[in-house]
Amino acid sequence: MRADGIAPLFGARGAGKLPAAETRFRATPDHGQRITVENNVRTFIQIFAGIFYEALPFIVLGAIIAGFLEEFVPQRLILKLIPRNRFLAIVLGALLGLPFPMCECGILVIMRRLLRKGVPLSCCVSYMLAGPIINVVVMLSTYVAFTGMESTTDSSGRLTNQMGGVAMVTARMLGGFLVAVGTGLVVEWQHRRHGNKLLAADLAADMPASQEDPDATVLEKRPSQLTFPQRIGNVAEIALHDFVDITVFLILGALIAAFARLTISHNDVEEISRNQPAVAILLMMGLAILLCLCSEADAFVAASFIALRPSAKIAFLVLGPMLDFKLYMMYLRVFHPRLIWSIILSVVVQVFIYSMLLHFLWETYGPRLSSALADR
Amino acid sequence: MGHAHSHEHPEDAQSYYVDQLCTIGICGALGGVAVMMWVKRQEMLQHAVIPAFHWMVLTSGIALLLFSAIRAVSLWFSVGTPAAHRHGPDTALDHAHEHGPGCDHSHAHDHAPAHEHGPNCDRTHDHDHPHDHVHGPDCNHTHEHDHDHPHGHGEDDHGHSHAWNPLRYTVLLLPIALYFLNLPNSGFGSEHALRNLSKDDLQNSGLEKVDDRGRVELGFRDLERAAYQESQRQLYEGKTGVLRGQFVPTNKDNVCRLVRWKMTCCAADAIPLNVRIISPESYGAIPAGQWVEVEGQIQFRKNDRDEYAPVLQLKSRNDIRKIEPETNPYLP
Repeated sequence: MRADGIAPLFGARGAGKLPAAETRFRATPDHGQRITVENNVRTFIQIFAGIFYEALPFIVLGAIIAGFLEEFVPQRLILKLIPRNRFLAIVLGALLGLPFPMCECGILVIMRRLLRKGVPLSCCVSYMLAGPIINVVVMLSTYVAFTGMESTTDSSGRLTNQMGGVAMVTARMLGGFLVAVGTGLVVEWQHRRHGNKLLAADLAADMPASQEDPDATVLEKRPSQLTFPQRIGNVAEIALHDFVDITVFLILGALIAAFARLTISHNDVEEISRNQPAVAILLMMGLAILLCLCSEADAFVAASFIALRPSAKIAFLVLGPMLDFKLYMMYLRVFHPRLIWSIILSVVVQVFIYSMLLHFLWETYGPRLSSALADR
Repeated sequence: MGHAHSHEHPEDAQSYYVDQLCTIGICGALGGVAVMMWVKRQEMLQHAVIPAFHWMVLTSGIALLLFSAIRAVSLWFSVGTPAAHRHGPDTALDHAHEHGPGCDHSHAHDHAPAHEHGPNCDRTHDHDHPHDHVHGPDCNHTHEHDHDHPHGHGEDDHGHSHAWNPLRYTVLLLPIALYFLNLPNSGFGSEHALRNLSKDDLQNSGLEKVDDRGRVELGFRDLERAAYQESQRQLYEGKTGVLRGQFVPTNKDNVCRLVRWKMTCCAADAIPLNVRIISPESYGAIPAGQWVEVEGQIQFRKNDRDEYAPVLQLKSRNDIRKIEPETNPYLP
């Protein structure tokens, strides 16, 4: 970083001529405005670049996996692996993040290819929603972020009834699982009613007419005599296509998120929601949608709201990887708006109910657990 | 039910190739930017993501370059070569595709007389017909079609549209443009810090090391939550702390905050950690955002929410010194 990287933005050039207070607080209105605009633009660009370059490696990885999946994994193999019982398939989808950890940006690209391979829509949706939460990397980061929080005390030395690492990981995983399975069931019901109309137009055109009968799905569409280099060429084409397709929406989402991040501060939320559990939960859900954080990083942001109730933090941690501006823009490339709104409604309602239940349970039984942990 | 037919769609071919060339170009450019960020402009990356992500950005850049090159070569060879690709829009391209049971798209066919039917098929065609045909799962007849039909690729390829759409490439140019503008090139300003610090938010301390004449090195996490735990408060209270960070003024000229940004993964999750610095006299001319080192006594004072917060009490304003910015301004 340059030595003068920030200073000129705040009027350092005039600092030698004026007393400190005047330099800082009595800048001419025009000058002050210019500084604010310039500073805001720089912060905006920094946040945008942060979101973009953090997601880039995962989208590239997702696109390459998608390319190989499309070209080399036979559809029949995938169909054989999926349980015939749709409920079991949805549950399996929700747990698929354990063997195949993927963050929410990459998972969408893979999920789109799985859909095309004939994996049931509801199963794909439950994998898409739970995958970024129920995986080892996210479990670890959540555990690290909240370890020791259970012994947080207020100024009079009383425990503030916070959740520690283990409790937060458990509550987050359970929440992610239940909401993903619940939403998977809603999607299944919707799919039975509306069929492939629920998918984005160009995706729907290539889907099997019915997912009920695995034999009736589209079969592989390639001449078997393709050489290996030709198949790698196909992988490259699919990977680049998927990468471009999703990255456009990532950029649009990141722009919205950077704007939201610039205008809303964490502390506004913390201030408003201090003593209202329902308000706190709703506000934290709103914040999760605005901030577009990666599921591996959001635990640390949630942990920075030290005084906030654990249920509101859980609402933030469960909803964030399932829904935000960036994801909404990316969902548009996969689903019809009707299905997107069904998913949003289902996820939001379930996260709220789950967090409220958790709140009452934790307020009733939590203090005992907290004191037991703190006494250790 | 393999069903080979030849397409002729010249406008499609043009838009297909323009689209493919743009895809290769933009992916290559994004890959190049990611690699160049790592090679030449690490400080740009530093403001965007934590160091642990730098090699991932590099790897993704290399992967993008590699796949763009592969695609460029395969596209080069597919031009004019029949059957090179299952949906290349080359004129007179033989391209085998299979129809699922739900497929009922219509082709206007010009049937060449020599077409083969499967063993159970006893139909004979000797006419030119635009027909809607549906191939069932057991259908295995082969047609040699020579048809000229206006279907868009998106309907019978693997589900994506190759229509040339300049808008999306414009959006993708944004990160490339930012790279050439050398942005982001500075850390968060103090205004962003102020916006993210509540009026009495003192619970997070940015202390990195504590020197109590015996030089006590302490982990960051201990200090971060020191204010919340009685035993921790007792440990730090009264000791001399040395603290480096960015100067953020308050509306009192003897009180300021020292801020360090803690970045977990990327700039979007960065949170400002701060400690309030109280001097017996006015600080003098220190611009907001200036990197300073402060030495003072650690105290814990109650704020207006009745919570303890760490404060560094200085002996004089000379305890605050301007320093060069840290190589990595972000705390992990």
